[in-house]
Amino acid sequence: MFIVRWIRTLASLPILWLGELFARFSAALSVPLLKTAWAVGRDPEVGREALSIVRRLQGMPASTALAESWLARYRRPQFAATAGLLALERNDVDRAALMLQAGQTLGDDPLGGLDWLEYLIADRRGEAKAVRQAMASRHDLPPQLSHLLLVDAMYDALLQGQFDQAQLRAIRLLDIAEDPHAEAVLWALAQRDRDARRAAEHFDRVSLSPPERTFCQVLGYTAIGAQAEAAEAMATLREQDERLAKRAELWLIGREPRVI
Amino acid sequence: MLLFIPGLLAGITVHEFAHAWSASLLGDRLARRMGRVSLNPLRHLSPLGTLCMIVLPFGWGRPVQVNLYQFNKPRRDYFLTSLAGPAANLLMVGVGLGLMQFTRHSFAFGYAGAHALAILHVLLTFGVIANAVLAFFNLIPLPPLDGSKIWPVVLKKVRPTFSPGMYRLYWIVLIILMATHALNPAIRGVINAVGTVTPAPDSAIFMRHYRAAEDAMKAKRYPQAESDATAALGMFEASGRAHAQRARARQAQKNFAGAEEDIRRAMAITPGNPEYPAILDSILLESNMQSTTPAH
Repeated sequence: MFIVRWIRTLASLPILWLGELFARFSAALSVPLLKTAWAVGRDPEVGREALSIVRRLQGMPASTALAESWLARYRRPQFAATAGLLALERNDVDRAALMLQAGQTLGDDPLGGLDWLEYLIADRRGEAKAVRQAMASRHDLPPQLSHLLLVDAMYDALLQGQFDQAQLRAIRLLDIAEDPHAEAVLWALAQRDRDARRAAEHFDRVSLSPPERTFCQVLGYTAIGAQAEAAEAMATLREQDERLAKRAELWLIGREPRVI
Repeated sequence: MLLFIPGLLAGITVHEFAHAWSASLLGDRLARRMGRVSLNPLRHLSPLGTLCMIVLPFGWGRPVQVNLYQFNKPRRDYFLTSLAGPAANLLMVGVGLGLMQFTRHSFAFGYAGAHALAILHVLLTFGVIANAVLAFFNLIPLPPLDGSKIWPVVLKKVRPTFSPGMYRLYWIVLIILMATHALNPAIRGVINAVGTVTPAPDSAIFMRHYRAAEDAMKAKRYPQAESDATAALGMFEASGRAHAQRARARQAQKNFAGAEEDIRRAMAITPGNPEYPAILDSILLESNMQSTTPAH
């Protein structure tokens, strides 16, 4: 059994690499190659990668159709997770929830795709806090999701005025890896301490896109009670990225910040 | 090269298992969820790494994914998790050397079992070498190898994770080091060091003495030949050819009684050998001639 699987995986590798190479140059040939790599190796991770490249090269409808047809045919939780994430991308939260339910009945997605989906659905429905609390006791999450949960908890602490807690969380995150969100929180705390030099140092290290930096500023200024700056940052954010501005509003409503 | 494969397979399996198990003990259960806390080699082998094992002098397994955010003390726990892999290989070296104390006695189960024990001993020798090299190689303090996880523990400014760009750069450095054979002297040093602690099997010691006896006979150094054949018999007393060898050496030294005793023993051990009766005849003939020749 293993020998067969091993040979299949081995045979799929050159096709996968070729597909990835073509995908780098956005060549259409990468899609059939990646589909073949999945068909030969039957590794769900290869299938997941094929779907993401289909999404990039052929668009949302094509990747959604393919993910759902593979889910119906091969019954893998990884495909349910991907189909659900694609549904979320087109704001179809109900469809995503259906996919989550289907995926959970099919078994575990060891790389945490279903956990992501569960968290993001809850986030869209404004129930992220409950899911985050439930996930906080788990120790088998993928690193990216753990990181997201810790960042959320850090902002939560900041917005609720638990500045020491927020600082501890930021330091812990920075102890592991460079982290623009942790830097943003330390920037906010330095602003609160009126330490302009330290604030500038931290803000220089917030290596995010301009709208995301403004998003961090909105949260930071709001948390420390700098109302005028927060309002100004929010106005800038609305100009830069309306969607992110709405998200910031949701955060500020949902997190019951100390001062707005 | 094929002789290294069983040892490498076992080494890679315990190495990856140790990473996954220690991560699980230290609070990160992601590897357990991914089925990596297992001694089943199939869960740890990478298809390409296994293929390389067959065609190249090295191979690798699927790396265990570790979630640092789930550790209590990320720097320390990541280091301990990384150290667990090479430590498991060193444990395998110890277990291998221990088993070799048993397999070295090749003749413990007679001549028939000697071959099986000798093969096992050879496989264990290659296994011990493979595991020692795996441990040494992984302890090199260069990312992405396990040894590099020491830096975040000793240097506060060094973080345990790198950007993908840095990761690629370190890989390139490692590939250059391997391609230019820069690591070969150190690896050879490890192999030589293992060689000094690896016990030689009785069969090898027997053959060394037996061949020395043969050479001494050819060089007509009969006392030396007798001494070497005696040493060979010390390793394996039930060897017909060693008794025959000593019989010839003793005959050459006019020790006919000893020679006769040896060749009769050889005939008892290997009754079908056609050479031994002829040697016995020549010993008896020479012995008779010696006893009937009047002394002057």
